[in-house]
Amino acid sequence: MAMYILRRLLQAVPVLLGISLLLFFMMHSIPGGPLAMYAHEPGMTKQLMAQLSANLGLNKPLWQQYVDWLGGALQGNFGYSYSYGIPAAQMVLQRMPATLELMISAFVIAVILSFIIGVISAVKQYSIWDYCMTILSYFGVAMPTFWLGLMVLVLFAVDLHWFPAGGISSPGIPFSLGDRISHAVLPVSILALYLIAHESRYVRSSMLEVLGADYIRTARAKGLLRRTITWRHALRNALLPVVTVMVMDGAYLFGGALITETIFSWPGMGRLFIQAISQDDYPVIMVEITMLSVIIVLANIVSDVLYAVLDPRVKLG
Amino acid sequence: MKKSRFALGLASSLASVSLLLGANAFSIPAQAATAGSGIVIDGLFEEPGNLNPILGPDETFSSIVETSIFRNLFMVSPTNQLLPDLATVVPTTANGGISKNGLTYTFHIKPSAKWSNGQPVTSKDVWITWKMITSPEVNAVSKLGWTDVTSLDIVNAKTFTVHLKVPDGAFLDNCFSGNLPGIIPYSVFGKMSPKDVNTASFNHAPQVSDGPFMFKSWDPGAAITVVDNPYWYGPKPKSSEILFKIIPNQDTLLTNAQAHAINVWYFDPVEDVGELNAISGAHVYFANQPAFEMAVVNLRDPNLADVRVREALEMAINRQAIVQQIWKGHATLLAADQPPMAWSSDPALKPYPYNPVEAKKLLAEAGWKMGSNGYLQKDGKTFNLIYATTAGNAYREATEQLVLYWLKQVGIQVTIQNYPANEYFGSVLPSGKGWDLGEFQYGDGTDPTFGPFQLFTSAGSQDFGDFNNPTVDKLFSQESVLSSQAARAPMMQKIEQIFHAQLPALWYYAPQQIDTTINMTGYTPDPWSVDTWNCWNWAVTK
Repeated sequence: MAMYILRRLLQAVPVLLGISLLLFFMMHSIPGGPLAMYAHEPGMTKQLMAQLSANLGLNKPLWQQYVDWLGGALQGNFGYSYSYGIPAAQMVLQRMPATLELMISAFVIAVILSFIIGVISAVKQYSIWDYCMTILSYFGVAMPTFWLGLMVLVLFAVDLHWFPAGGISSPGIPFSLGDRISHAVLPVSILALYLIAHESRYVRSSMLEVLGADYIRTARAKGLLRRTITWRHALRNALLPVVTVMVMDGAYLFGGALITETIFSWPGMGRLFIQAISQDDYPVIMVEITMLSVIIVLANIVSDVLYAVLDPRVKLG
Repeated sequence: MKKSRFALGLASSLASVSLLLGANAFSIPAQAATAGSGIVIDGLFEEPGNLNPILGPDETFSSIVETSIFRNLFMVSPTNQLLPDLATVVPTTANGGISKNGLTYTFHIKPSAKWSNGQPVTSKDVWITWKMITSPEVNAVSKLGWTDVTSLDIVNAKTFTVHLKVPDGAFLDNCFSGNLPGIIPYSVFGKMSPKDVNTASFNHAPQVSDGPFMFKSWDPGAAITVVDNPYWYGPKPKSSEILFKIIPNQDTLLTNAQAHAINVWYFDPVEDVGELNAISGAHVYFANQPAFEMAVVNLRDPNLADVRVREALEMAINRQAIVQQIWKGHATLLAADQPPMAWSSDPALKPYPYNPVEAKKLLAEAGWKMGSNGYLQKDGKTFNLIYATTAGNAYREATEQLVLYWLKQVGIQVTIQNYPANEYFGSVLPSGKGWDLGEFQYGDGTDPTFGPFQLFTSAGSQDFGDFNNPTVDKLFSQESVLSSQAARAPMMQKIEQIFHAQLPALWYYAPQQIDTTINMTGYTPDPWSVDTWNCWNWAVTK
């Protein structure tokens, strides 16, 4: 197992290098560029633009810019944000707690509810409950986040005054856990709804497959309680494929929720990423994508290892 | 069995706790925060890049926060009058502040002007500002005017003189009015190497400032807070704090206004005016602003090089209908680039009329004949134009649909091609490729000559349409060295007449600035500055 993990980690190195190289060159080929935001400035001339380009290191050949970036990144220096003038990695790390607060809350709620909904839907296949949950799943997947987010803001913040209209906490007051939770309820619900919608479908289909297996029929024939068969024998085996999906979903959480964070003014990494893209803030884009790539590659390895741990029939090698 | 029960219990508890806590115990916290606390909440659509008044890039949202904490020698009133701010008096030739040859300016700083650390604002602060702005290593927000300064002599702590290479009629406007750029403290930057200025910690936590408020905190992505500055020389602010809440979505800003979670919303979309007026305690302000909306003509296209064709395009588009239908009357039609409120505007010039019959006639004179496909043809080619603008802008997208319809009426086929703003201004417009008519807005500062110089002269860095008129270039070079507006105005009017006749852009309108306040007094829109120009006067009423 240790050798397998080591081999996978070594294989990940060229993959990550390839990703960074591809992204770096793709990013620089997008029209616009970080100097566009300076072009409107009073008195801007071609000479001053050239000076700015030199100050930001954008006048060097592209391959040299990449080598400089890679050399810095390997030492933990991802450069300074062009828009903010502060270290790009620091900017991302500042936003990470807000993103994790939002995403982990949504993920935990979604995982628990997905299991409950998925299992009950499978056990009561083609019942009213199953149809209702299927419709709810389609609703969750089909509803655009930007629209649903705005609708819940209008309903719960403007009309009912139950929750605040976005943000992570109330401005001008000291930290309060209750205040943080009240701000998190709407964005967490929107995110959780989406996750529940598709993860509960995985649980349902995985459960249906297991419930039709011979050993479940044998368990029923032996007179075991239906509840015991469902939750102890069937769910454990149904977990295997679902765990892989959930580990990967968990990895994507680090990218932040681009639209939800924007609609709810949540100061997370997703919003920072959108802003960096719109301003062609290359150092920030590279930090976010590099970090996400590393986490996804690691999540893949964890998911494979976990599969082997959960299922003794799977041998890694 | 126990584990299953635990999972079920945990799930239902989490769901109920989060719902109950949110629903009952913590309703409307933002409103509760403002009530009687003296905190004004200003909704910002974008997070400022930095709060250093000399650093770029130029962003309205940096300027909003900076104006509350940094002042300059002069400020511009809502009626476009230059008034003393840190300085005691506006220098003129009459009061001896400007030498007769226009090359030397003398400034006096108010004895009461102090930084937020209690130290006086002195000539040394202005000297270090000049040094840093003109350093090539500093990514300054603007070097305009400053690069013509040959020396800055400190006469004493409160008096200094500036010597220019050439007379500059816009020197005070460009260098010492408003806050971009503003004055930075010598105590912070005096010993700093210019290369360190771009990344100084001061840029995100300016602990020394000279405005009515001073910096308190910046929660990245969430809010910036400023508190009243006890050392400010002006009237005591009526609020103890201003909280700049970052809300990066126009629809969410509207819901925040409707939920009374913000007190100020600067530059509101015109399509939200109805909903804003319906908010209790809201006051919606409309103010003319020195800006012009236009569609720059790409003169590299040989079809558009014929001025008769450009005139036909201008007359084929019903711009009055755009003003009425899209802007609900909150805009003024333009004859050329100068908004009527600008001192340089020619009042005798009138906008082109909407006249599709005359437009067809002009197109026929230019050799275009109606083809069997319903579009004009010349040399076997259909008259097709690419109309481009920034993506995701509601009023421009609505305008495009109307332009497409009106130009089709005269036989011109229009293809709409929109781009993200950075790509549009950074690559598409400068390249001259992928567009024939490029719509955007230019916001003039206090000096209305700068925008047209940048956009329509061979020396301008944003001559996107490749307009080249030696008379215009010569007039600009002549007016730029005159110091009185009275002397510059006839030259600017001549330039405006050429722009009206030559149509380097299709002139549309000057939109009004729309701002909203909720449960607040003391707000006065100033089209020459930003919303915070008189923020010491702001007070919450609920």
